[in-house]
Amino acid sequence: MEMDDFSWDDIEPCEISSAGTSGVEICNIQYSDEYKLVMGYLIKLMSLKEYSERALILTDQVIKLVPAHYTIWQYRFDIIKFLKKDILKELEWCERVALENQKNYQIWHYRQLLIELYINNNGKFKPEFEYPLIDTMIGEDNKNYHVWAYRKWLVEKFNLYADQREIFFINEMLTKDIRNNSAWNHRFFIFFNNNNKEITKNLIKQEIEFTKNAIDLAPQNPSPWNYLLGIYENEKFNLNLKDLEPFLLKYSNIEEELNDGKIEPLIISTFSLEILAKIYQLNNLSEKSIKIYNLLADKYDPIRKNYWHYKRDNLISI
Amino acid sequence: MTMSAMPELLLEKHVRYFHRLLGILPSQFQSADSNKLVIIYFALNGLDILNKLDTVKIPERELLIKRIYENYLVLPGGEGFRGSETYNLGENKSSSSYNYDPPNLAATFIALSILFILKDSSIVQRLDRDKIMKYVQRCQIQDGSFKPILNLDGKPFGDSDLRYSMIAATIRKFLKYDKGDNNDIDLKLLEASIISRKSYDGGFGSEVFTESHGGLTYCGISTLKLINRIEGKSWDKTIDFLIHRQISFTEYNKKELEYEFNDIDDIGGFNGRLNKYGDTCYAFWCLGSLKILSDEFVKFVDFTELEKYLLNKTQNKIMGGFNKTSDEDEIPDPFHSFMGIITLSIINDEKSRNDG
Repeated sequence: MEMDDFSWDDIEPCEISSAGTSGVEICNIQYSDEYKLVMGYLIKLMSLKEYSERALILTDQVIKLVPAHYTIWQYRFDIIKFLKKDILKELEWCERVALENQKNYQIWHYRQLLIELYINNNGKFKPEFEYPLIDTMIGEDNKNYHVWAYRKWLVEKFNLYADQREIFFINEMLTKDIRNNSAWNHRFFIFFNNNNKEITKNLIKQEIEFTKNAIDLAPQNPSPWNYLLGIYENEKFNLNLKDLEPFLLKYSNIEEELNDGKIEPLIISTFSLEILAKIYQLNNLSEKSIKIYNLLADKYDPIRKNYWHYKRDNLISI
Repeated sequence: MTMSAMPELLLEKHVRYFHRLLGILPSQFQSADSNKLVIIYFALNGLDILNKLDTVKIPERELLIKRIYENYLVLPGGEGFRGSETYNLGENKSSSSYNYDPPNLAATFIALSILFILKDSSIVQRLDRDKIMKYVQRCQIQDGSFKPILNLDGKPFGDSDLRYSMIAATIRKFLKYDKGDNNDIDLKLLEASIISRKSYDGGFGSEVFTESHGGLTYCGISTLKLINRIEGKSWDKTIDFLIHRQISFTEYNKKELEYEFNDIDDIGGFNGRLNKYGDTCYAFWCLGSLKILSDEFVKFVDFTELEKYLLNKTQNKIMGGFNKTSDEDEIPDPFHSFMGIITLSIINDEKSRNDG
């Protein structure tokens, strides 16, 4: 259906201009004729609170022209409810709009409203209905913030924490791109969310192993390092950071540099150095920590020189 | 001796760019129509930071102020501003029931900011701070966060991410609201909702357990600052997250350049999330967050490298303003132009403070 399929003769579109009611022209956008017409009708129909098929078509046009419009979604939702439209059909429309404009953010919230409405009316909704759309969107942009947040909402809404498809999806994403931090974050959510009462020692061990393997693939990739620290520094898990020392020394033969400085050390990951400095501090080997911070500042990570100096000076003052 | 090509701020071009935003804009700006007040805000605030607000003459200022008040709305559920006159339904300014022309928290924050920038003296007579706060209060939801508008039933509607929490806290600060005032928001709930959005790596996400993000980290930290809840918490991980957003490629991590999101032109700039490309705005979000946490922490940033990135890679040398990224084919936009200018001004302040 198009706007032309309906009669608009009975309404006078409002005039759209940049001049406002005071006639003062500021930020005078040169609106196209199409824009003026569509927005002119919209204002009229909205002020009449008209809930009709033609109003529905109109909202489709407006959403394509101004995705950031902040009342259009509410208006469309009210129309859908008033006309008792088929919500599954509306979800299909929603899907088309999302695929046409990757940056249309409000649509994900709208989609949640539709699904909640569907559940209210019909009792049950199958979350797997959502997977093809998510797959396509993530295929276009594997770090789309809103799509990942939507997937998280789906997990919460339908209690999919233990659903094997979730971990399968994450593993697939990380296999394709081990640097996809959105996937790493979703992984943390799935395993360590507040609802998961079953955070067993085995699970923690499994995740540490998984992360260590990921680090081995790309030692300078920050994502698994943050994930690893996220586990180790979580007080609830009762782990000891010191246990990481042997693993860290695989990525930096720093001991040699610390001892005589004659051998050029092989540093494969600066992140391993950062954590080693913390561990030496815990072991009361501040001298070693200080040397590492100096190395980070002067040699391995000079852009953060002032930060590493601050860390070093904090040790000295202790 | 050849002079090294010192990067330079193209002051005149930026001034002209911001003035153009207040004038005639091409139809591409249609899609930003709902945020028209925001464009005015970036232009005026940009000029203000460049110390060129005097190029906006008194008659023009008066017209601007007039235009801002045109978007002031009076509803039974409270008062506030709309984002653009295109939302004006042509009804009476004060409406007896809810309609599709509600105040919007973001627009209210922006309109107030503009009135402050223009030093409008009529603000106290023309606005009702209790009624504005009533609207803000009604936009707060159970978990302590905020939604941008009220729907026809007078209920909060829309996304409730951290941005609106910061906006609500800023409006509260603007209106000098304090404990015990009639329509104050629930600060305890707000604080809890912010803290719950802190991620395992120290940054903040839009919701609980969503990915850490430089911009949302700024929203979280500035909200806590605005409601006086920074003290007494450990920020080590957050600082670590923020400072690692400054992009660097050295001999020791150059292999990472093979990754599609890593670009040698981004050195010195900031990304907003791990393994993403650099972007003008994240320099501000990260710098600003560190600065709010402490004057000491902002010094961790390598200002020289950041300045080079902004002036050489994202400053638009032809049109003025700033591009989003170091991609040369981009054109500037109001948001990134403002972000570029404000970041450079913070750097300047820091440098002169250290000299003095």
